[in-house]
Amino acid sequence: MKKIYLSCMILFVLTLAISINCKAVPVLCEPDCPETPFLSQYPLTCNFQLGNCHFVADYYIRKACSTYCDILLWRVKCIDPPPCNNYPVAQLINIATASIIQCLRNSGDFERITGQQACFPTQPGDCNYNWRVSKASCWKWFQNSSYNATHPPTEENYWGGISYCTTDVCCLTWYKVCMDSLGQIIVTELESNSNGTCPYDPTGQCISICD
Amino acid sequence: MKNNTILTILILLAIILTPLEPIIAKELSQSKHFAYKLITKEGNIYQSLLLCSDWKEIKVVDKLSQSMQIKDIKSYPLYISLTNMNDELGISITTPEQNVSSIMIYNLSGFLFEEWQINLFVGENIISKNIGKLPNGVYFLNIVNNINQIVSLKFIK
Repeated sequence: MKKIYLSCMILFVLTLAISINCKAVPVLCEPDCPETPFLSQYPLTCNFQLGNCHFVADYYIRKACSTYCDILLWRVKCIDPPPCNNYPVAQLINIATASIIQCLRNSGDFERITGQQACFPTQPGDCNYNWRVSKASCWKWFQNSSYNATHPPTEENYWGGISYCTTDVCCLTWYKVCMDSLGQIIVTELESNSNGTCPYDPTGQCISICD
Repeated sequence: MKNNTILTILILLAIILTPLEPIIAKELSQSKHFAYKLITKEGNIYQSLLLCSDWKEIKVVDKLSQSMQIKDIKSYPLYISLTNMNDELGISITTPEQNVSSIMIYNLSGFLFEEWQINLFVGENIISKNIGKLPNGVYFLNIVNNINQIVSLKFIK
């Protein structure tokens, strides 16, 4: 009787633990390495500034196949109102990516969350080619319906931003991250691959960023 | 026997209830980096000179003298270029309005070496600064105007 009771207890605790740890929702645009999915239970943000405009990039990370340092760029919030929405989408995505790499380096979040080493050069002259950014191929500007123009813009009271137009066409971009002889980190965009093309959008709002 | 069972259960519980987030005990050997540069496929160059990722698009005008210009200053009322010849830093600032600005010189680690204020007049303002006392290295020149807008440029001593 005792054995049955103990077995039931262990089974119950196991079920509880699994249900707690598996609450993650599936993340889109996962190009490969399904055994190391993006860690959707750890949504991350990174603030950056371009001109006088403030932005917040929402993203996820993973160490894909124990090799690639992957970033899934989910959304870029534009905190300030127009004319801050005049920046080209591709430019915002590139700067968001470099900012995320900067944020990950300075916060140590990559190591903390994945438990594996990030793909950073360790000494001047070193380069790492294992940074990849996965995102949708088609993006559009959106306006935050709850933005209140009478209050100062904040991360909560943000004007809008850029987000996915469609989730079934994805783009994977490689980046080279080097440390130059002066200790400066150089992020260089390499090639991009897409699994399709942006669908025709009669409104012209959807922009392809994977050319 | 009873004690062994309890111990086994406790070990099992400890394993099961350990959160999936890995606990990394090792020290992060990485240091924070002050300067980041982004080079896009189109060849555009952006520079972030602050830890809070304040990006500027830049254009290298002359690689030999390390003269650079802010290429795209969205809503920023200053246009700046730098030249460094024989320890004389030439700073050219063009502004459409008169204002008082602060100029600061930092090194790569963010250490402030010099700070001074200038009155900028409408049009081009040419400022010369002797940097002979600065140790050799890479520096950032920050210009902050009266409404706290910042432009940063890099120069090499």
